[in-house]
Amino acid sequence: MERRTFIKQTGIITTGFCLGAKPEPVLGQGDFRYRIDQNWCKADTAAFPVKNCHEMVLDKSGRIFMTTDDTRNNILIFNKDGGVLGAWGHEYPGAHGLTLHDENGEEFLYITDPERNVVVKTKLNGQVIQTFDWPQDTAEYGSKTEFRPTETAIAPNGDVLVADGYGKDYVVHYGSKGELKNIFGGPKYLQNAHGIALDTRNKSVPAWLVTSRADNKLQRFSMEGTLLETIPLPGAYICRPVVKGENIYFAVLISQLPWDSGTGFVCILDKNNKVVSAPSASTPSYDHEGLLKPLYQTIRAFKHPHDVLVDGDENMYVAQWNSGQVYPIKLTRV
Amino acid sequence: MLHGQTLQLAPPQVTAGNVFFRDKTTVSMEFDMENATIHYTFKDNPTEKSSTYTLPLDIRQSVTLKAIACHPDFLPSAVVERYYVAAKYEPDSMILFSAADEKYPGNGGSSLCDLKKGSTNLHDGNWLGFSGRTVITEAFFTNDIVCKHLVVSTLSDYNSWILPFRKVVIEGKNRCGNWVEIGQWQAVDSSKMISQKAEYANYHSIKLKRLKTRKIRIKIEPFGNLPPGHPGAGAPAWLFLDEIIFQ
Repeated sequence: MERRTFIKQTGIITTGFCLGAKPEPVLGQGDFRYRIDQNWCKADTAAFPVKNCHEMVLDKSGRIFMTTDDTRNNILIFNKDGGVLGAWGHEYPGAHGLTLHDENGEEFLYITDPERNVVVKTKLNGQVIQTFDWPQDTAEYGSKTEFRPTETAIAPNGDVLVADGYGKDYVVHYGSKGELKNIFGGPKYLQNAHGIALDTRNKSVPAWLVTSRADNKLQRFSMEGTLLETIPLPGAYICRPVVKGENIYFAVLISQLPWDSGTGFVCILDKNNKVVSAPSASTPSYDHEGLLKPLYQTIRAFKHPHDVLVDGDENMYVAQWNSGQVYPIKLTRV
Repeated sequence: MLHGQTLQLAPPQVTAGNVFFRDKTTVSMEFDMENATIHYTFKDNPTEKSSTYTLPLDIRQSVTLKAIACHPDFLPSAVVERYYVAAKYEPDSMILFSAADEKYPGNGGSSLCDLKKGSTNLHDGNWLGFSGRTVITEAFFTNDIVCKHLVVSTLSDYNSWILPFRKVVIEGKNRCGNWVEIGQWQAVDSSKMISQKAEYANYHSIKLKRLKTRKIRIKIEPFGNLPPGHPGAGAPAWLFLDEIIFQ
């Protein structure tokens, strides 16, 4: 039975309220409201240190994999209760993007490292399978150091798309074997092309969603790289799109400059790509012309959210950059 | 799980028609949360007992506005502070004798007297950027003025290699046609000029000696080389200016 239907039918919703105590806050609006648990993660900071926590994915066993740029353990693996199951990785000083892809029943990770100018495909135990290097002999790139990839997305046919968000803002399209197929995007359409995801909510028109973080926009590109649509999200410096069901979830790094302003939050878009909830931020509203009123942080539940993971119960886990070396926070959907 | 009282509110949103103004500017504040209130002062840090914001505020003189958001279920926000600068005199023109960098040209000298505040986008046309050079500019007034204070608006962003100026010398042309010094400011401790936190509204007010004049010259010396420990140590720090206000 679907989780939210079960709760409605039983009529049980724990509020954490007891006589004389103030109720726990609920963050978010509309149908997407959450309680926050900042102590979800049980990691021992000495045994499993983190610097910046960048991105997270969920494997089919229910384990959460996370990138951190602390080379003592670039990949941390958690269970859903926040306990640490394991860790590996010492060779990713800039460990950033993390994508999980099921290839004929076996799961692989794609790690981007903008410091090493490379994308690395690994097994879940860290064994390196393949690397995707900078696109040589192209008009767009003249040297390895110009390529500073932040994210990957995998096409249904196994092609690998790489968002060069800290380099030249192109999306570089490789075949599964690493052959260069296409380059699109770039500074004409993207300012800080931080994240990319495959969008198959409309099965007849699949598309690539690419965040243009510095100018608060989500760009939709065709599978061939033609711009289809621009979705402005004023006040939201969105990191990467996370598509789950009909919705897109975002970690919003900040709502106003400077980059270390500590004004981040998370937000959820509906099937029409309208913001329907912004936990710890202002209520999303659109004017008569369909323009979103700029969002802003209202509750300092986060500093700089960098990624969200949505689990099967539609809870969210939020990893943060430059926030005091904190572990992910859990948002439990109510 | 955390209880509401351990979660802090973010500061209210504060917007103004103009940060720099001649006669009046109107300030609006907003905070989207049911049962939240905004409190403000113009002097000490506000508390829940300070004036409650209900309607836009008309500001007619230079002030520092301080505001917080409050809600019974959350900790009060940090104080948000905004400085609004009144200009008494507006030059007919300002000539820039030191060329700004071609990447940040603004609109030449007129950018410094157009009462437009630069944003966090350094390419918005309101900022003049200089690398490693003293800035010399002259302001011309049709009628004699007696300028009591000069306010120089700059920005500081350590991670973007931008630091405030180190010294300002202000001269006025007297009736004999000679330039005489009427004001000066110099950093006493340069280490205190450096902050890791970016500050896009960095104002220095300098008191001036009385002189009736139609021409004022301002020389602004940059910070100098970036300090040891900075990724660009040894290279000149950038200097950015968006306005000079004559009060």
